Amino acid sequence: MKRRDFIHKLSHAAASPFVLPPFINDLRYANPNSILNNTAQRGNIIVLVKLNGGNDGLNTVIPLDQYQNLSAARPHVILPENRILQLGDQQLGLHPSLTNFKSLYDEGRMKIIQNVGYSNPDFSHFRSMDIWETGADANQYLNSGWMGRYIENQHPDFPQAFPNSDYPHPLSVEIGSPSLLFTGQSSFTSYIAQDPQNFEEIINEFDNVYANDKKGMKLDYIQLVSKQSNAYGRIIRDTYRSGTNTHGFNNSWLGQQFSIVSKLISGGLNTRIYMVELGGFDTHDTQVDINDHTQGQHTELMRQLNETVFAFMRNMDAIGRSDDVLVMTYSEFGRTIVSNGSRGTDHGTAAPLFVFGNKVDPEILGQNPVIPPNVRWQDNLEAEFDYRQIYSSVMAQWLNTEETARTQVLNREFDQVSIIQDRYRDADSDGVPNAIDLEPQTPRGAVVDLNGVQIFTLPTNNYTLQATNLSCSGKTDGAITMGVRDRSHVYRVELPELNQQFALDAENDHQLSIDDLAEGTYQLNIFVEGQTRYQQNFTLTIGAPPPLKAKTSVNYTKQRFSANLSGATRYHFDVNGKRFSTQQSAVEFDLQTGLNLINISTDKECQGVVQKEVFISEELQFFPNPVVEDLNIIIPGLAQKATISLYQRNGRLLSTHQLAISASRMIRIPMGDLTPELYFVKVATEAVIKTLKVQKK
Amino acid sequence: MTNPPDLVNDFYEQDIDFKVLLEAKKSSRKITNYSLASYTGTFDKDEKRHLLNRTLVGNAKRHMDDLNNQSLDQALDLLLTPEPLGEPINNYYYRMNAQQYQERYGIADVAPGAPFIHRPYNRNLPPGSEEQFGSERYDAIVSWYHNAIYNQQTSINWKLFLFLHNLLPTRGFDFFGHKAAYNYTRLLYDSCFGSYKQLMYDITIDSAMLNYLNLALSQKDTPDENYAREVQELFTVGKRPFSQFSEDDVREIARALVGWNHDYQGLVFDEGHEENSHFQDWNHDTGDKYFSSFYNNTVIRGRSGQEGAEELAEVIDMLFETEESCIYIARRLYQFFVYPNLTDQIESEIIRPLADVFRNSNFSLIETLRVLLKSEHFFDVGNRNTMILPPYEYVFKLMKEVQVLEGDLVHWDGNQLHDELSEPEYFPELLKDPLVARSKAFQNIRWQISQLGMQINEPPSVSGWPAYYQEPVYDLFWINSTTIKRRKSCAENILRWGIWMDYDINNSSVNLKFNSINFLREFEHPQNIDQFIEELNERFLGMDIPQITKDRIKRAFLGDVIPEHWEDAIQHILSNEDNPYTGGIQYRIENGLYLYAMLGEFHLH
Repeated sequence: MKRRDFIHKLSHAAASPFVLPPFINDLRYANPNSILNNTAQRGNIIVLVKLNGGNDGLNTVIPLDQYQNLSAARPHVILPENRILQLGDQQLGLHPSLTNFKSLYDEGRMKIIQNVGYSNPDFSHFRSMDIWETGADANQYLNSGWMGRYIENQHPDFPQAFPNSDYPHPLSVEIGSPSLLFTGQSSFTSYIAQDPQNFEEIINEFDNVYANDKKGMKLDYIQLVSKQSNAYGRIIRDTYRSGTNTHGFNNSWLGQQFSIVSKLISGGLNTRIYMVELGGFDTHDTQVDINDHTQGQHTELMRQLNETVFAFMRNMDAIGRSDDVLVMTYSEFGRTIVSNGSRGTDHGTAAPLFVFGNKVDPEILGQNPVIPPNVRWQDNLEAEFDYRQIYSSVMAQWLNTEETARTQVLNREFDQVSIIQDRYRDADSDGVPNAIDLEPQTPRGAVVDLNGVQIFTLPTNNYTLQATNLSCSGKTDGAITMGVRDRSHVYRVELPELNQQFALDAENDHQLSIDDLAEGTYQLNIFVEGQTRYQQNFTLTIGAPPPLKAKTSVNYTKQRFSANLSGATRYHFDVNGKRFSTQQSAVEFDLQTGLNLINISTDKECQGVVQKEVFISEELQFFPNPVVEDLNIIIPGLAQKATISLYQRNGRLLSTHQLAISASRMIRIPMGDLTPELYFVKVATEAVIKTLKVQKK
Repeated sequence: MTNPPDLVNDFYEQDIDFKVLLEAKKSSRKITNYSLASYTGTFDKDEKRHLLNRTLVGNAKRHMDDLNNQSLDQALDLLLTPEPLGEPINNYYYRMNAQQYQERYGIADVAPGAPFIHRPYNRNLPPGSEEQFGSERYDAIVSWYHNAIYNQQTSINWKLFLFLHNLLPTRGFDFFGHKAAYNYTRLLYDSCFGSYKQLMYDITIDSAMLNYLNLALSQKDTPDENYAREVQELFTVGKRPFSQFSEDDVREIARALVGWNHDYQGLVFDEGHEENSHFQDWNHDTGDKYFSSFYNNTVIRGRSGQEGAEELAEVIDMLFETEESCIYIARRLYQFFVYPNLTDQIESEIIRPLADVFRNSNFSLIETLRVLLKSEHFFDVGNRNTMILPPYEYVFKLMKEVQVLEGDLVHWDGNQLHDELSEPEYFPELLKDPLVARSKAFQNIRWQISQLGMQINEPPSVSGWPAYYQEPVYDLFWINSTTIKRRKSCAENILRWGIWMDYDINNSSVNLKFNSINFLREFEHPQNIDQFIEELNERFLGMDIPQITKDRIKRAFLGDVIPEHWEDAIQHILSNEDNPYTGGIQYRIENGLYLYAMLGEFHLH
């Protein structure tokens, strides 16, 4: 059973967690090209969910062992203890609205990392979201987003050389407005897919070269964006249109965004990075309802998040892609421990972060925050994990990014935390997960076998092979020639059919010619000296000249003969004793009325002769039948006169007339006066004689 | 699915090393003149256009005409003069007439065309009836300022309003009843020519701001820090690393300002629209407030009773005493009006001296701008046509240039285009009422501009719009692969289909379309296609464009006719004679103009 089927059955059921068997058989990336991390084919997808405004961590993931002190510190917003959803036997619970999160947790598909933040926290939305999105220290000012830097790091020639054949789809897609997250050091790296179904072609001069100044730079940029808009717009529209969602999304803005992402993935978009956002978390006041703390602004946000993430996972389950997706939330900060009299909370510090996916390591990371008995309003939670540890771990374990690149993106090294289960990670990004990778540290870009072991290989176009056919059936004048591009090796070629071996080396100038071969199939097994695991096989066929083939047809109405020929380059036609020759493989000519004799042959006697006899008679048409008044008869051909004889069904001749045939080729026989019964009408011209059976009504 | 390789070939045919090209461009970006001294060069068309580009919300020919034969000083005097602004009027009577209004709100409404902003809602509406308020006044306020921007005189007032709105944003319409949005808009508009420091005082206790950044909800035991932080970081001294205010400073300002509130009920339900903010002394923290060395260790003495209100003025004084406050505002002015990306040289040679001007003019934005806009540096060729048009500028430039609101109603019934002039019976009487027409038009225009990433009174965050502040991308943020498409369809609506107004009796759309013949009359040589394109280039782009682009524009105008036919047709059109070609000319003019609106050059100013 495939893992996704298993998960699908598990979904939303009260399954016991962490008992999933090791699905080694589903570790199916036997594709050496997955190293490219490109967008020409499927691969790991990450969806970032930005919670704008500072999500109240202490009302999202609640440390149950601290409940007493917590309710003393934040009486205006505290959730009733009996409504909190406890996670297994942990001293930790979820907001009452996060019911689906709980079942994802129970299925081992959700990870919680507690107390994520950074030291010397900043309390400004603006600044703190900048820090989270740029990946900066609190006292460090960066102008680019970490995802933007990541994309630029992996694709140094973005955006100028994009899209291209390895990367036909956008590198990243966000729904909504452009964010700092995807702002690189020299470009904006995401495509905004807010209205994916509409495609508008931008008409702009596509190849203008502008002056070297500020103005020229802007014009270059607009030209480039126009091109990318046209190229990516088509892809987005087409994938969106062919995508379907099996599970509906709620109508919230977050639901709409996730619905687009889900459709794009199901429609075949291979973009690896998506971002969606949900705003409204800046709950300084009226975070909860006055009478019921499980209702209110924050609850509404939790509900949207809960429903939407779950609907997304269900859709991915349904199309068999949930193994390939990772969903991660982030927010600029948590909120103060102490609540406001206005039933809200102010800007705080560290907060929990969620990661969803079939391959997450579901263990809860981090200790429950400790709430002292007498919290002052300026007290805040301390970060246990730097948020960049999460980024670095996701890059390493999910996006298969090397340590050097991670360090370049985040400006220094960060300790890894476990986000993805080790057996699903792929440290050397060779497409073979660590669990079954016999050589987990092969160099980047190396071709590996199914066990992840680097293999010696040569491109298939290294070889030039040619088979020469026999001149005629029964002879043995066939040949095989072979050459190689890479002449740095000594090649050995086995032909089992001949029980013979040949070498290609400097001695024969890496050229081989095997002559005097009979008709048949020959296997060539190629080996390279010193590379014991390398073997490349080819199968070549030496044929005899094919027999002459003629697919013929006759159009009796038009009196034309046509033939589709194969087997030679020149064909001879003998038609009624006259010969013509042609090099065309499709031939058409007129036939004469009566018998036609057609002979088709080639220059080679051994290819055979095709003979056809065609008799062309003139076909009559008549109508109506049954007839009330006049009978109409159409007489094709060239005859100018026809003799029409009318018989009763008992054979008695009623009348006979000779009639001229007009240019319309139709003659009319009045039958209105005849009694209703069956009649025979005999039509005779110089070319044809035919009797028609006509019913009079 | 389309075939990826084909797509790629379409896209990427050239074998050019763009990286090298871009690097070369970056290194060659040089402004030669770093002087705030008065500009002494010629003040001709190019200079006038540059000045108008940066001081108006979409400039058009009529603004250029205003500067005919004007010197730079005269032009600046004209531009730096306040523009009178009336009040929003009842143009919603077609949606809710006086009787319906009386029934719904239990109170008489003003007459059509009369100002309504002072009018209250009924105090006796049942609880929870906020939801019952219609959107008609909201729309009337929106059409009020859009209409004013469309009719804008040659004055900087509206541009400076956008500057202040981006710098001191609120979401005015979050506050129901709409008077707060009006008061906020009005406050910023009227303060453009006053002291920025005074504005800081006024905006702090403006209802929309009290509401937006939570000061109205702050409680003395747990003071809300939202406003206390932003008033420093975004409104006055700027953020770190330039300014070194501390977290304690944020808390202390929050303590000093707690107690300010507004009479929410009164503002919505009472006659009049004056701000009624007041100081609730029972909710004030009367302790002393201690500030960091960044504020010279200032101590603001805590006061009880109504005297506590005085602490606000002391906070504002303290903020503006820092050197950083003037540098910050000078920097924001420079980035908004000249160029967003800064260098050390610009900081030291332009922004620092400008900060002194700001301080010495009693924090006058206008006097600071007078120096900046008159400077050698401002007029340096390297600064012209270098910023991407923000959404308002893009849309209003198009609308003003073709005077779309002075156009004609049209409707397409599937076979034939009907226009208001020849077949008035096709059009609803309602739309012939100019008040109604403007109301409808601006409802549509507001939506279109919002699709381009900006909407007055709806900023994305307290920081304003990223294109105005987000280093290093800045104005490039206006253009991405989605908004470039939307700019295209917006131009198509204005230039080709017309602005959607309503449905006619047959349920097909009625649009307001610009009059292409009136448009042609504004040109000297419209009948000569080459000269016409040159005139358009100067008016629409203000810069030369590659020959290949000119050829393409020419093809768009001419279609399948030869230049002689164009000449013939235009002459007939302008002399009001019938001509077999005239029918197709309007379509071709739209085609050509529409192409202009898609050119990269059109997106710059």
